[in-house]
Amino acid sequence: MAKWYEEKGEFSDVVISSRLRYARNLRKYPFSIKLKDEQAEQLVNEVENVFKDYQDEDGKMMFCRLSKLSGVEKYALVERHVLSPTLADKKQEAGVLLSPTENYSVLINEEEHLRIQVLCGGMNMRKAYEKANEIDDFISGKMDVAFDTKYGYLTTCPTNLGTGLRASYMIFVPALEASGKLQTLAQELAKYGVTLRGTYGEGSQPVANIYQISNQRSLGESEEGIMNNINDIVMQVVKQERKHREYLLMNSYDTLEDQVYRSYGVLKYARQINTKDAMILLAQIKFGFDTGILASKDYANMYQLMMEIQSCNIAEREGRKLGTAAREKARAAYINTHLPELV
Amino acid sequence: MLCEKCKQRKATVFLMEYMQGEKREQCLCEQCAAEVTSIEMKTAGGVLSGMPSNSSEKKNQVCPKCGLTYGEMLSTGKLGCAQCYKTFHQVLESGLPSIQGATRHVGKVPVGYKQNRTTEFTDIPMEERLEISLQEAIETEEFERAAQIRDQLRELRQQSASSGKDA
Repeated sequence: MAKWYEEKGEFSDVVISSRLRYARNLRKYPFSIKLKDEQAEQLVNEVENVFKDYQDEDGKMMFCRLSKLSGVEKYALVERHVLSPTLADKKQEAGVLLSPTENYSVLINEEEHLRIQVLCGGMNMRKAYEKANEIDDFISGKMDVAFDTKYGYLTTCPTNLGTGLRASYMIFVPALEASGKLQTLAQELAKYGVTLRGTYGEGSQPVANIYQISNQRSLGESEEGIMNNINDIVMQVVKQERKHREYLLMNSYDTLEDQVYRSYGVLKYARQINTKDAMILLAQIKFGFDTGILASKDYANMYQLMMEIQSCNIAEREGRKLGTAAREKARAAYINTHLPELV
Repeated sequence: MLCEKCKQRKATVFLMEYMQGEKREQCLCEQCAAEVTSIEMKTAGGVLSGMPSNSSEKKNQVCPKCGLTYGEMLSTGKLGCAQCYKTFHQVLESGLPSIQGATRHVGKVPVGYKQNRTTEFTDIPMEERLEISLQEAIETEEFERAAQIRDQLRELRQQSASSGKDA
């Protein structure tokens, strides 16, 4: 099975990925703010044991105790959108169950006892929803999940209450950002119960024109209803972004073409580069492929490259922690050889 | 306009009562309104601070299962265990509309979930359930329904008081 970032999903010129998360807690343990260290141990062990029975067409899920991972390994997983920064920094015992493709995972002892998350490439929340439900049903069949007929799935934070569902799309909106309309868009979205956040979710800054857009409310509407609402809104954003791109191309094609090719040239031959510069240039190349200014033989998977050149992913590949200069050289060398061939 | 009862403070509450079919109207200040009714005024503030302000008994509430206090819950905006949803349900009932725009779950139920467990919200005492319905009725301005619920509540309290004396 392909990894989520290798799939070319629908509307992939704007929507990079669809991610669905379910927040779940077990009735027998106190929630995270009141969970004692020994209970955290028990929780992690219990969930690990239950998942020994879980298997699907991808095989078994791999279990990792976070205390056994180095900082680099943890942050490499954050950069690949598997772990949340909250979980990576957690002092108490925590764990993660990860599918071989990294497409789905279960985070143990984050803000909620369990966070089931499924990622799909492009716009495909339905597929993420089906997989998340399958894992959720497996969990409910084996453990007593904190649920109440009136309040639904009970959570530490009342903002996750009810369905416990958070559907988020990662979107690439360079044209909307260039037009200065994102602020207005964010205000508009808030009226429909939808939030716009930075690349790595809550509290993070946007990088390379990439944002996350997700539902704010989880109570009082069914899972289907929440998904339909956000799907409709994301479709609107896709339309708007495409319209702005068309406008840009119509009015300043030559300038854009020059900029995109220059960025390609710089990245093809740079000898050392920091993350920020690399991301800006990669975003311009991505824009080039998405709008047809550039063409490659195979599908140009720019987001995969964007994740692979993050600091901890480089360190993980090199098998050691690198100093700034060495890391910037390694990054440049990696991009030189991994940029899609132009046709 | 001054409060009709204390004749000192400014009247900010318009109280309409239905008593045995008769309608009575009064203009009161918040303090007097709180004294003559079981309706408690809301305070402005954080997401969960819709808690009645003049109830010291509720302010001292602690979750019997995890030990989360009322103060902790308000300052962190988080709950400590499944039982907390029962302990602090009144705060949630008033706080949830602003966070979630709803107070009732619609959607998925866990596989094999059996209703009417001892932990269910529906298992809370009749008196508390009526109090919540009363608050809901007031918020949605269904005053006649509110009056009915209030009478039910009064009857229930009288019953429990007299049975308490017998014991």
